[in-house]
Amino acid sequence: MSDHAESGSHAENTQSCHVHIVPVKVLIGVFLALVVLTVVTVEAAKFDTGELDVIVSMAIATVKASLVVFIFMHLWYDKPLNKIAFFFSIIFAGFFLCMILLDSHAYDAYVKGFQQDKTPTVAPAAAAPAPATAPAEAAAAPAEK
Amino acid sequence: MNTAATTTTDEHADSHDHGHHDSRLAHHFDSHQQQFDTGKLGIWLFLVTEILFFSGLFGFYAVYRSLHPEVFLYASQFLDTVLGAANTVVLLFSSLTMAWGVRCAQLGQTRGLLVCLVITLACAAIFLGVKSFEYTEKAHHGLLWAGMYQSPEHHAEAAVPAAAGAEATAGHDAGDHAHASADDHSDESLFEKTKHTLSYMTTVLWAVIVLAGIAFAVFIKKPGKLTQATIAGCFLISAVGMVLGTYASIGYHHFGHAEKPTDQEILMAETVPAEYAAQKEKVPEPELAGTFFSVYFCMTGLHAIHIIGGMIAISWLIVRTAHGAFTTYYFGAVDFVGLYWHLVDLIWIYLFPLLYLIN
Amino acid sequence: MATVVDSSNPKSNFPIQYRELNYLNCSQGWKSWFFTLDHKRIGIMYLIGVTSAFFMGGLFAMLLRTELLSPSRILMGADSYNQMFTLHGAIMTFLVIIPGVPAAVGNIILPVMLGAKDVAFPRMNLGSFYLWMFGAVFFLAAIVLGGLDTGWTFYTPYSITTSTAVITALFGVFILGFSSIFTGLNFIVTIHTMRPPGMTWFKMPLFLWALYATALIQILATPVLGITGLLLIVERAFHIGIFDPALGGDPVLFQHFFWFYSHPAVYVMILPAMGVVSEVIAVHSRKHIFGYRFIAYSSIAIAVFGFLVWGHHMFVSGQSKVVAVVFSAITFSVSIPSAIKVFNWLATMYKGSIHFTTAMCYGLSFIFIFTIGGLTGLFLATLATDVHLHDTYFVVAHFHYVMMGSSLVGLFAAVHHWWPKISGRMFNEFWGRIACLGVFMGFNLTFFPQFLLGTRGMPRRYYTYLPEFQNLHILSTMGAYLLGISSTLMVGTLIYSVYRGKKAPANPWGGASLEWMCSSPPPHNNFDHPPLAGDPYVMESVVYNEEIEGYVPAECQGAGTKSVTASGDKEV
Repeated sequence: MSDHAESGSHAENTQSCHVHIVPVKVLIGVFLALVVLTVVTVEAAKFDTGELDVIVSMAIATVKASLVVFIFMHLWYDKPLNKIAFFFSIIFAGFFLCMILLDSHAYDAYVKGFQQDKTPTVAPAAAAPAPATAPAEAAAAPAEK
Repeated sequence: MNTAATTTTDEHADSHDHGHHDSRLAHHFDSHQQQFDTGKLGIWLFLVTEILFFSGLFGFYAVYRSLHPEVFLYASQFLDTVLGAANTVVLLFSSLTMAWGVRCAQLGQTRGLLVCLVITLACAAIFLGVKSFEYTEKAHHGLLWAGMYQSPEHHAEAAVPAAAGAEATAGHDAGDHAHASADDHSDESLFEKTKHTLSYMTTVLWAVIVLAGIAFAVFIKKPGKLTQATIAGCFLISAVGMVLGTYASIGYHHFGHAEKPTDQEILMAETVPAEYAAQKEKVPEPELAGTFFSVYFCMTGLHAIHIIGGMIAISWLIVRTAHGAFTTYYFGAVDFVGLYWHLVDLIWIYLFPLLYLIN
Repeated sequence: MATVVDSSNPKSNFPIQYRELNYLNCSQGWKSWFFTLDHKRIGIMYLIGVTSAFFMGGLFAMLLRTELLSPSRILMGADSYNQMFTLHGAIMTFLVIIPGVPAAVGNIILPVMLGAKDVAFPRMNLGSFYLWMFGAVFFLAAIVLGGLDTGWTFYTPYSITTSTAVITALFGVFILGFSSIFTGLNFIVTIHTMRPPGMTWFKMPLFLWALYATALIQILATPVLGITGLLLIVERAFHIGIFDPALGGDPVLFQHFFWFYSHPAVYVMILPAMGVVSEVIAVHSRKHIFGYRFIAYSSIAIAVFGFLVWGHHMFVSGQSKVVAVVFSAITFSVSIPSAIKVFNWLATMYKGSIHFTTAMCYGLSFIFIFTIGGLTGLFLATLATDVHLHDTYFVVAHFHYVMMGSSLVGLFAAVHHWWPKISGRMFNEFWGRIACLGVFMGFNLTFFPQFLLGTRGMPRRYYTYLPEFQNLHILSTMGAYLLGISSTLMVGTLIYSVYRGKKAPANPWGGASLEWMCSSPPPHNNFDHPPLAGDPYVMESVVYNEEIEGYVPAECQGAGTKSVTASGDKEV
């Protein structure tokens, strides 16, 4: 097949890799859409919508991410196996997050108890004046005034 | 998912004996298509590991945000949304040029590829420059990870009496961060510090690039002048980009809040973030506020390391492009680095709202 | 590539050309080894590295067991004891069992089994070996720089406060993790893209299925270990307050992060060994594997279930009740695919013509030991029993039955099964079998008493114990000595064969998968043309040829040559 490499006319048939080439217009369009979405998410964050806040910003981020993944990373035109690999990893990471979230609330009380028992005794970094906990700071502040 | 990838074997079975002439085709592959598909699957799996690598940090974030939402609400006000958004756009633009570069590589346009890669590298450097300013500013205000965190309330109180003439602030080593000695040079010390951080980061980048260059030289027996010149060029672009990014953000910081501040405000601006100083009613500081900055530094720090890795990979591509290594049937490396770069961008797309936009 | 075809030689009707040049002698000098991109040489280097680490970890184990001969001090103080068991655990887990079968044996065998010339990314393969070396160096450095006494699990908050070299060891773990990821990535891509024509997914040898499942775990779980190690390093160095409760951190979160990797890692250790046993049992029973698809699917099922059970390490860590019940239930379900495998192996042997070669002996030991190890796992998966058994010697015995008794015995089986292919020499069957017997006896003698100790309440990791436990401890230590001697004998037998062994034929055991189609040892490129792959378990496709003392493809057997059929009674 290397014979064909030198002769340019045949190169298309044997040497080329069959891949999808994204037109420039699409690339620029995607970029502009991403910028617009960035502005939208910044503006949206200024409205206090309470719980919805996270959902809205994550939804916008996901739209942006999908644009990058499908167009910039060509995943839309890619082999099914690569798609499966990518989405499986997302699902998998999501599962991991859900499990630790589900569980961390269960034992949080224990951790807090430990923290209240032992805050002053465990000395962290030598440079830190005090662990950044309110009681220690509150005690120090009036003394300075 | 089945044997599609190996079907090319039959077509080229006759060309085995002279297949080894092509230096771009590794000896254990039958065709360029197979080589490309193999690499592509490899890089996608690598991205899978990267996603799971970051998932640990996202888990860290999710657990602490769900347990202590007030910490995130309180502390995220100290992050500069404008700088974050600007960085987002810079990174998105670099993604555009990278994707464009891949297109150029697929079409065999070497010059276009080179231009795209250079712009991408510069954008990455600008991103790092802005980041280095942000880090310095945080450190300057004592807004560090949990073990080093200093509450802005006390940080300010510790510094204000010092400037007013009080002898010492009772052995509080906050003085390190807040040596508010000169009234009108308030922002300059931040500027000086930023320059220090910048030089540190440049040194680190330089060291890493030199190491990568040595590794590179091991594979290439005689690094020609072209190689050396392009490596130097890449370093120059990175350095210029970083300086540009840093100075742009310092400029923004200067002129962003320049409305004839009072002395008290300058002091506050010197020691605590301007956003905090401007608040009429202070939100009470929750316990564990430092945890937010732990999350912030871990996530953005790991992301920054990935940016540096990407910059090295892009520099490598620039060197190879300058040598004309890529052709219409051999451009896998560009595509793969591109995919990695988009993933880094992708992670930032999530980091930005998660860290900067909490209301 | 000098190709010698001698027409007067009986080998001439052997379809694969007989070569003098092979991968071991095709190039010389240390550079040809240290910078090689050949998967077989990299595999050999792994094998040597893993064996050295095995003896180092084993030495620590011997010292531990000696110390436990009596409740009072014999060799070392309590602090050294802590460091000793930590290093034993960490070295054996991260340096021996995890890379053992996949990286060492898998590297050598996988591409040959696939009929490929190399793995998909040879440079990355070499890189992964050097990462392994770096990781090992970091572990050694940790020993020098103050030791390590956290246990191999690095549980917080102790790992944050102890003064030993936790950071160094964690760097080692981090680097080893990446070595493991690269190996896994390489294997998945190789299996997907480089199979020869004719080898569909369900014509792949089961060892490849097992390696594929292993590699899935490696690339999905190991990154989480990487980030966990990194976060713990940062926690120790900078006090970021993620795992340190004194700074508002969450120590249980560390356990979640750690076991999210480390439980699947248990399957990284056992799955490839199961794959080995599937090969060994079928080949040495001269019979088609029973329930091919079930074994293949059960490998994947184990990999998938393996991800969903990490919480069973944390039943007494303050985990919520709902989560504990879920994890317990899923843990039980892991036993289904495991049992499927065991029953299929037994069914394969049924009415087979079993050749008690050394490899087969190890394979049989594996089945026995794994069954005990697996069943005792069910006790620990039961919520109520686990509260009683948690952190006792019962746990120690259980995971040694699975990790040491199954994974390592699987590795031994693999090495003996493929040794003629790897080294081109036959080892001494007699001494091999003696060593196998010693390993089997020694192993059970060491760890069976520990089940008893555990149920009677002997806690793990303790330096001293009540006098009534002493008899069982002595038994256990005696077993450990026997185990140590036998494994040394095993390695000695193999090394001896390299120098004095008989030259191995291409197919000494009569396997039908592709690796037996090329010469022993294989040439540098394995195969010039991708071979045509058929069913890897049709043992009738090869027949014994007395002249070359090995098997040849049935269609190539000369008409006048005396032969016995594949399922005949001819002992090898």
